[in-house]
Amino acid sequence: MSLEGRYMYSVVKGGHQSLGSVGIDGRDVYTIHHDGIAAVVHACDATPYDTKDNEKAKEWILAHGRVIDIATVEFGTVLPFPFDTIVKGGDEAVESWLMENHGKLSKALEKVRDRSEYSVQAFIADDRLEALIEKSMPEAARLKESITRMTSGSGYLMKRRYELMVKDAKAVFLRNVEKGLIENIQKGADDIKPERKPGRIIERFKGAHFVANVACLVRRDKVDALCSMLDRLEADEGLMIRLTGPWAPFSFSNIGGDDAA
Amino acid sequence: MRPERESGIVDLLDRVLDKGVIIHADVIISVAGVPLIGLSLKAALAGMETMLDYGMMEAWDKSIRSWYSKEKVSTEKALLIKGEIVYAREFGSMLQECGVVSAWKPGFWYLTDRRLFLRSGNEVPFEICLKAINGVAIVKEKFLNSLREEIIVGFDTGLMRIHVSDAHGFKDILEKAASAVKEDLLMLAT
Repeated sequence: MSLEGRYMYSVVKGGHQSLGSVGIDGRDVYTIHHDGIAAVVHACDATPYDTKDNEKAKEWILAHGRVIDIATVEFGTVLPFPFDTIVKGGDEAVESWLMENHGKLSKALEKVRDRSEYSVQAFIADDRLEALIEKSMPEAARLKESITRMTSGSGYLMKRRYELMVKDAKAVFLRNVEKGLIENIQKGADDIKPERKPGRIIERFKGAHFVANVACLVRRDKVDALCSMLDRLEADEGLMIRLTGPWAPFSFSNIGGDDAA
Repeated sequence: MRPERESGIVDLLDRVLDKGVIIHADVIISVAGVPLIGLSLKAALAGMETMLDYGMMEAWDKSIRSWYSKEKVSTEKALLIKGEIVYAREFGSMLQECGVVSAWKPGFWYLTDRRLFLRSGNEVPFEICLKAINGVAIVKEKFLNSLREEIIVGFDTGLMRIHVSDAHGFKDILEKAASAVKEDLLMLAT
């Protein structure tokens, strides 16, 4: 084993510290530092972690997440790395990189100090969306009501007409609901990043319309207000919301290109 | 509402694969500037249902939807008669025959309470009153290298062959609309 690589977990504000054998495959995790900024690492071979084994992969990913959580507890603020970021070389290579990017890293750390990332996933059930539409399109509401009084033949045709009428409105309304949600989140968050529809949708959201999936950077003392606001939106607009977190600021750790050597 | 963190892997996967501090290529182990995740690992992770495909579909869907709504709103209003009710609007085509040459002309089929017509851009290359329709049938025909279902609409002065993706659904609603018009006519007559 040459151990000519350093597996990067996160960047923190701090000095030299050993976190114990909490890393991937039980590796020793420690910090390499330069001028008050440190990288949380373990020493490894200069090849990426690779496996066909689902269980092994899962174990590694969970370990990566766990070390980031530990670093957050130890150091307060972290800038996390994605899985499998391995710097070529020994400790000095990492120290070199810290030195070259010191300014950018300081700035990025300052931006996320005392803040965590939260994820807001919002969906809306079809009938709630139709209710919102009917509130502002009275002719649609009237049509729906009159359908109940029709015979099956003309009722079928009118139902098709109703569906066509609201089909276009649905796309517009979803966009408006999304906008409203994002505006509300922006009031309580330092930064937000709208994202794609989540790949895995939880059971209670299945069959509902996707509204938004937003990563937000929230100060720790503003989280309660965020929760209250989301509760209110659920009650008033019939949104279904899933809030996850706190996460390390994965979506807000962009440090831009490297400084020239 | 309280924030939750699932103890499993799904939410974590969303984050740790491509988010966080991204380091310049020279310093890390990577291929063509792309941080290396072992290919087998990638496959293993795909097996854990990281459906990035869902995200891609959503973006495509959004752009098609916005084109669609812009396309429709501008020209549609101009083509409808005042008070006309639209029952169905489906993308499809009609077979245009010009002597020995025939070609499928694409567009949007509109079925209203009065007529069936095809809108192709700003033209209406075909239009028929529902009253004039005397039969609707489905046939299986060769198209390119496979068989597909087409609808033949019979009317007082001829036949029209049309295609939509859901032939049976469209035939159903066309027949219902045509007979509804005939009922009205009968009622008017008595």
